[in-house]
Amino acid sequence: MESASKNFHKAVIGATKLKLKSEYRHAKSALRPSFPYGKPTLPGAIEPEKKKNKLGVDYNTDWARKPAMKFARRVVLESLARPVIHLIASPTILGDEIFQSLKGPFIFTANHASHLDTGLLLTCLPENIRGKCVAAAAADYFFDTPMKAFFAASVLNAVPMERLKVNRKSALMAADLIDKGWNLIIFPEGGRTPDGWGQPFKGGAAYLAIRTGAPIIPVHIHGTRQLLGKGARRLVTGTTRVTFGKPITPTEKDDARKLAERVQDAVACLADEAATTFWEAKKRNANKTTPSLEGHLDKGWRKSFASYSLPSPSRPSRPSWPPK
Amino acid sequence: MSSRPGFVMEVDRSTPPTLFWHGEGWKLEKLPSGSRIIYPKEPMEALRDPDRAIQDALDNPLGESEPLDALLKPGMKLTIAFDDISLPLPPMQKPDIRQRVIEAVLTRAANAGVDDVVLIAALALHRRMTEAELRHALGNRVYDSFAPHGLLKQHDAEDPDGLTYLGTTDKGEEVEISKRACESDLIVYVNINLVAMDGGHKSVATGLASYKSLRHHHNVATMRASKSFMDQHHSELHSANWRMGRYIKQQGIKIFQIETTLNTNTFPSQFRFLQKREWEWDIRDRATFIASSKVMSKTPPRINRSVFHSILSPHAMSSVQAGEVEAVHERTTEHVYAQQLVPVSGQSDILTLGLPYISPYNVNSVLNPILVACLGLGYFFNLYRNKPLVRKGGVLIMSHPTTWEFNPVHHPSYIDFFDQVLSETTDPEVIQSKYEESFAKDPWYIHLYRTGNAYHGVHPFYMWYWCAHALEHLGKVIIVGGDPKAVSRLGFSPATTLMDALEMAKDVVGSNPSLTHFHVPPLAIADVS
Amino acid sequence: MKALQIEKNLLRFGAAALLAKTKGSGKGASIGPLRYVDIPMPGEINEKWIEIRPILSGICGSDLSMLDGKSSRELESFVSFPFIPGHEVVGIRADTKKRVVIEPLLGCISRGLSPCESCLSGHHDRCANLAFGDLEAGLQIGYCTDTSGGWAESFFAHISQIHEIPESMNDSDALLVEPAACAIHAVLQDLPDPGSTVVILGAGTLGLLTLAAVVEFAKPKHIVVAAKYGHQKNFAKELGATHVVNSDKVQAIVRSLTKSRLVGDTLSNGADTTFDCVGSSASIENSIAITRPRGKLVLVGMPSKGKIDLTFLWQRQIQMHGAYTYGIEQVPPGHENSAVAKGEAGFSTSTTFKLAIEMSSKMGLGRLHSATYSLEHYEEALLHAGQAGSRGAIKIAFAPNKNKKIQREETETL
Repeated sequence: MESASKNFHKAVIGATKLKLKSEYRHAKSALRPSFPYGKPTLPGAIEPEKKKNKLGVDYNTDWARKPAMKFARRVVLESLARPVIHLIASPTILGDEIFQSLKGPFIFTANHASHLDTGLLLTCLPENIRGKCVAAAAADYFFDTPMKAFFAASVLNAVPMERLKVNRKSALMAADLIDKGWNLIIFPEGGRTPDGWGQPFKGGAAYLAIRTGAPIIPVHIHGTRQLLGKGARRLVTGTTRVTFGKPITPTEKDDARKLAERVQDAVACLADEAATTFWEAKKRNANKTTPSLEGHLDKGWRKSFASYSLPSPSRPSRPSWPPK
Repeated sequence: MSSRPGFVMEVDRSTPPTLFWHGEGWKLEKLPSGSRIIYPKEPMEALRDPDRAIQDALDNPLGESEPLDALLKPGMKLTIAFDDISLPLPPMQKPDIRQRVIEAVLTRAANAGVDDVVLIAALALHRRMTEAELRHALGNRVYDSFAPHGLLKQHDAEDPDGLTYLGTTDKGEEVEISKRACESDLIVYVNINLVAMDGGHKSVATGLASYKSLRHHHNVATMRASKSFMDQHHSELHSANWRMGRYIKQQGIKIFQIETTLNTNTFPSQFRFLQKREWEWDIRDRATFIASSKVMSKTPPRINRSVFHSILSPHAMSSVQAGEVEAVHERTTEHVYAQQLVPVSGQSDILTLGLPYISPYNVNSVLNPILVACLGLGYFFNLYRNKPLVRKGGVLIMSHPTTWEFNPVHHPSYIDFFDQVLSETTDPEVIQSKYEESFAKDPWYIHLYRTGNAYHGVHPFYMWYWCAHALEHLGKVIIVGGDPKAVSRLGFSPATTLMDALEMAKDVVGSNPSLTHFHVPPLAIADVS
Repeated sequence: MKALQIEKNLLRFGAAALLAKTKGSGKGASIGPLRYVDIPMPGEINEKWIEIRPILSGICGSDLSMLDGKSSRELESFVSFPFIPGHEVVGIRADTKKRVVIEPLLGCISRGLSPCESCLSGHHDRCANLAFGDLEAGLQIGYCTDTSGGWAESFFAHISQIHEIPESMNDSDALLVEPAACAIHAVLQDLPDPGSTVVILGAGTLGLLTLAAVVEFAKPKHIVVAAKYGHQKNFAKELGATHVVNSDKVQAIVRSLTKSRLVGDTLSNGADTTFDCVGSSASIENSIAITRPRGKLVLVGMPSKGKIDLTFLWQRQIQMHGAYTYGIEQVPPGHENSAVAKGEAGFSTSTTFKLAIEMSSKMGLGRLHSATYSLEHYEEALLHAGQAGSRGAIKIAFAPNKNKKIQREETETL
């Protein structure tokens, strides 16, 4: 008996709530033009759809690849972003000769230390490739608000990528873009390094390569952490080094995990090369003594600290002009 | 992309006006607070690779059937029968499902060395299809391979030399079907299941039958005894067809049934608002609604009609299954139910419907008043399982212009039925006993059916029989916005506005009636508890 | 004597015709050739002519078309001016005070001539002496200056023209006897075969009476009546039509009933007998189109002038002829009451009027009598008759001797 009357009360309260909601929505719409000229009001029984559906992984970036946007981005990239980035980061580019003989689309997999990475990598690519590049960007970071999503999509030509869990939609979308001839920049670590050391490569890039057959080009970026690392408040100028490795073409036998390991290995080798020389790095690689990107097993500050023991890149000497 | 289920919503103050189809157009109507609106489930995900699914179905038949390849042998007689222009609605974008399936079957038949192949449009007493319609359904490859050699046929239920009388079922129903089908070593039937009523034994036992055979289940008594056409276990129409189908099987006629289902993605993107819930209409939807309504009110109805009939639906294949008829149909029905069933609790006093421009019998044609009645009372009223949406003695309110207009090429006997029969009586039993035979045997209608593109003389009677169950069940039928003369001829009450209709309904169901609006199409089946 | 008289005044005829054409039938009455007059009774012709005081005197379609100037000028030679119209009369014999109906044809006998061959055999309708003898020219009472007419307080009828009616018969039934006789004559002249299909175009007085005659004397399978107005349709159904349709639907129903095909817009088969009770060019062409090859087409009412395409009359070899008035009939079995002689195969011979009197009371044809006017209000009466269809009426009549104050009286059956 008691529970019945309780249920009854609950039902009455529920109905009253619905009614109030409906009255409120009705009253709120009193001043705007009536449907269909104005927006429809929601029935009391319907919960408003959460807007976030539209953001994150589900953010549709098709508009950012329309010809007009492509053109605008190109103008910005060539006339503004490139000179600025060169000024800030003064990159040295190694291994870019591979683009002379290969046809895209490619999947660029790079280590990730800074927000500058995407821009820097873009400016270091040959013109025909950088004009047709999309960047995989963390859906939860770059696409969580409309403004950020707009910025990421329009300026960086970013596509949302789920980094915390496997998401078929974002993978399919990226694969679709590669199939359509777009190059993809992806940071397989899934985020910027917190401490200077690398993080394990996730399988996404490898999966895409296997699915689309596009070759992976391992890239190592050195030095951006010092300019604008994770948590940095100020941007400082400095020098950087971008090293392109030999393309890794997936075979049918590859599975995503193995391939991801190969890619990680290749990037580690590039890092070694950036720190030393090509030949030394190759030798260490052959002996399987390439220093791991992930470095120490230490944690916390000691790990960060240890990362500084990596040799700093040797700057090529450049005659300054006018001579001092 | 998961599709949201259908649901029943209660109308309150902030519920926006509800879409009512109104023939070649639509209206927004504000329903009284407390009314219920049944929204269909959103379109389910289609098969990613329909062609692959077809091959799989042919290789892995259901029930007691060998795979298709094992049934195809050199020197055999193969007949491929397929559903006619009445399915699907609206006609689908290319490639039509029939083309996909038939091409797959023909490829296998060619590999197996089958030479004697005939295609038959299983149109029963429907009108013959035009070349353009056949090309659309079958694709040019199939059409050009068979039509020039006379091997693409349209079933002729009046061809004295083209029918075989097989005998009677244990209930005394005469079974007479296409001679070619009877003489074939194998009939492959290619079906499209738009609603749960289609397919199964109905495909051959109805699609390829003669008038003599059809009248045993297309009659008032059977239709009245069918308490849900969408549930074959409570449908006398289906029981009769099943008896006939089993009898056909007993006579050694082998049928390999291929049934397909569609999702309910019914309208192309320019008309997407038609399948959205009103409170989710974005600015584009509202703009399309307003613009199209304004334009259509200015353009002549003839032009609107041709625009509407040129709509090709994007609905996509959601399942395909092949093999023994009953096993296949069981699976098919599950798929249809999965897409279309919406649970509804309890009946109401009034059911409102917006009737669209199309029914199975007026593709590329006019929805004449008889078809309006049939679409509302024969089809939409019957889109239920268990119990009708409206209580016995309740009122059905439909919205449709119901103009006094007929297509003389497609529906010649409808004109005479309207003028000569409905002017005398609307009682289905009287109509059946007094008038059916003279229309069914009229040589002119038979001539037009056999040589032109006309529905058979008896077809308008069948339309009226479809209404029989609803006519018996309902206390009153009101058509909103229809031509009063035509509506009265049908025996219904004309009303100018929905509000008027609701007032009129109160005379029958009392002053505080419950009301349910069925928001179709896209199609749904109300599972009424 | 109060009367409605027509003078030969071409100007007035012309004006009436113009008005009727532009404003509709009956509108021309006020300026037409018809005048409400008070004139002396014409002098007695001879002892065989008896004064009749009309109770009811109908307005016939031919009266209207004459007043509307629609009828053919060719008939002018069969008329003598000035005359008083009115030939559908039920009245009282001045001498015996008995109620009678009048057979208004003026043939040899009434004209005091030795009967011509036709009149001798009772076929007054075919009389050759319509303009000769004791009287001035005139087809019937109502067109002859000497006899006066039904639209007057009294007129003369020849003893041979007078038919007494039973006590039990009411005035309205009697009013319809004359037109019913025309209809019976039309039907018995071309008696439809049993099991055949009959079409009657038009459901005014003549159409409905033709229907009544078909129902009474023939046993066709289908009787199709084309009617324009609701009340006409109801009467047609009451009187026994199997199918009542709008005139534009006649072809469709005839096609259905006769299992015809269509060649273009033309039926391959058609009705066995068609009675055209409209008489317009369009209806005659329509009649030709729906009558089967070698079928019969009977023009019952007075047709109007006009052009008719006779191609299909020729190609379908249709027998078309008119049916005028009445006389003596060959009657199929079952109507021996009024027979005057027996014929072959159970047929008997009878006068049309006897048959009409019998049929009118039996079928209660007085129900077609819709309204009654005094002579004084002839303008309204003619207007009502001219618009009978749209105003829900069939037969309008004058009551020349009734209380002068009544303007209009609807009959109970309406």
